[in-house]
Amino acid sequence: MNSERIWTAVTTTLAAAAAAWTLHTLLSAPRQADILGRKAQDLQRIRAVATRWAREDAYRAALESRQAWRPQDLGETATRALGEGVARLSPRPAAPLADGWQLREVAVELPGVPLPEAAVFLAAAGDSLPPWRLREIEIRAAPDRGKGTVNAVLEALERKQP
Amino acid sequence: MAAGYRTAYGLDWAGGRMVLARSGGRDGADVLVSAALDSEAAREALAAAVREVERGSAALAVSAPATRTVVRRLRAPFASARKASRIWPSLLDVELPFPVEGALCVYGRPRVAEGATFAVAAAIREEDWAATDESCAAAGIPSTHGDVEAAALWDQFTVELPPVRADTCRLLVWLGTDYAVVVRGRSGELTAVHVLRRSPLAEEPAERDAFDQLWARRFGPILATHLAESDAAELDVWWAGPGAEDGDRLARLRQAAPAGMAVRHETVRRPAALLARALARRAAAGTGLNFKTGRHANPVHLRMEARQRRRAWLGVAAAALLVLALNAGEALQRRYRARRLQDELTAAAESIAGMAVPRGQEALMVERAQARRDEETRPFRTALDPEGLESVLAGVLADLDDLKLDVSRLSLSSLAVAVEGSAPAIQAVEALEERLHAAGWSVQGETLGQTPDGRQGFVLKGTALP
Repeated sequence: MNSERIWTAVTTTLAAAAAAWTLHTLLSAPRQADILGRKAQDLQRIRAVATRWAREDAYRAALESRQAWRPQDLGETATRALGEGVARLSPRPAAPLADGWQLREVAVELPGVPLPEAAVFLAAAGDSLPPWRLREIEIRAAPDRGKGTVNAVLEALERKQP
Repeated sequence: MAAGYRTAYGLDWAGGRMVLARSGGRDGADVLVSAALDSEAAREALAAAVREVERGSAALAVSAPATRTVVRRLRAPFASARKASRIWPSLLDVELPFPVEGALCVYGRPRVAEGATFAVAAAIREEDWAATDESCAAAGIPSTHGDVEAAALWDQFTVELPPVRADTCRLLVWLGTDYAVVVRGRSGELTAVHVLRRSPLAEEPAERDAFDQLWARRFGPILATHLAESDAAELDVWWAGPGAEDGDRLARLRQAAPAGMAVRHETVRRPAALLARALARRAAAGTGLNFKTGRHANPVHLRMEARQRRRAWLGVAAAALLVLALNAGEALQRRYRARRLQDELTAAAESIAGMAVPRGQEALMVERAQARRDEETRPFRTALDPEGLESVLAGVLADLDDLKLDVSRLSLSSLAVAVEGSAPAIQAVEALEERLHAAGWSVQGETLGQTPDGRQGFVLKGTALP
């Protein structure tokens, strides 16, 4: 009789535990699936972000492989395009970027210059690696037709040579 | 009567003879021996059966004598077997010639029909059953089942010879060694049992005459009652028992049927072994009734039942363990998947954030790192852009030239544009406004009146559309 009671108790306990765990599994399954689903979505989004700067990284690698550490001298370019002493250049403090690179900015003032020559200067500044690129510009027309005062800000990438 | 025996023996022993049948399941039973109790064949067959019974691998069923058993068909006036089972003892009590408290009572499987519940019930005085059981034990018969003779006979009869029609009115006459049993039934249902307490096999003339007189007195009224209760015009009488093997005796007994009553007479196959076959089949199938329960139960039978219960518990326990194992496996697999996903998420987030990322902060940290990195890489994007602000400037200058606008001031950045000057007509200013809008600027214009040379002065200011 005792052994029957033990059998009954053990089996009932096991059956109850099995039923309870199964119930718990069934009830918690949707919540678990939801958590896993959200994590999978986060992972997918993060993996998509990881490739977001692929072009920029490739460009930086190209600059480094070609040892293009700094842009051309803007003063020399201005002299070649506009003549000696025409352009007034005011370098601004450099801002640090990733992996040792920094952003250089130069404010350029071209007072009373023929506008086509100013265009040639801007084109020449951009024709190097890394290029000087136009960030902002203001043109004021002079009384003489075809001339004006140009105030521009140019920016370029630069890295100290490793 | 609990099922669970693969083999069951049915033993009908009376008057120094025995019939032993064996059943291996629900299908039927085979007669092993039909011989004198003290014959070699009988002793050997019985000994073999007893060995199996004592090992617990077979059941051995005998029957309580019909002369000491009361069999009644009970009717509860509602269609609920469960409710009916609670009132069967009360209903049976009023039918018994002895107190129900001192009796062993068994109840057949209930049947619900026509808004009522029916069941066959049987009762025997405890001392009568004890005497039967003791006589079995004294003869070396360790029975496990004590079935109800009349019920077993009728059941086997309906199994072997199922009624052709639902309203078939039939009667089974068992001519036993010490008494005769008449079982009445309609279709497959037992309706009443009559016991004639004289030996139909008596050889002495006085005894034989006594039975014949009793038979002549009772048989006609039994038939008439059955026909009346069944509302039938004809009935079939089937003969069985050791007395049914004697054709002359049957012919004599049949004559007791009243003249003009439509009665057909038939004899069952192997009539003397009908009871043994019934006992064996019902014990093997677990469909019979059993007086050998409780304190009267055979210890071997109790052990067998206990073994079966343990086996059932073990099955349930094994199933529960399997379910627990499956749940554990599912939980482990779920945890493994979650951990692997979390590891991948953390690694991906840290590769972008460039620092350790607390769990759950991945998306936030990556968002912040993305904003920082977007800002850091902006100059690279600017350097890469083949168009750039230079191209925008060229486009604006081309539009001004095309529309013949004179410009006194032009300022341009990636965020804003401003043009101040004069136009030959207001339409030219509007055209410039449209072109700047098409190029991605939200522009507001203002006219300044006529210049000294008659041109329309204007100012346009715009911001980049998002």
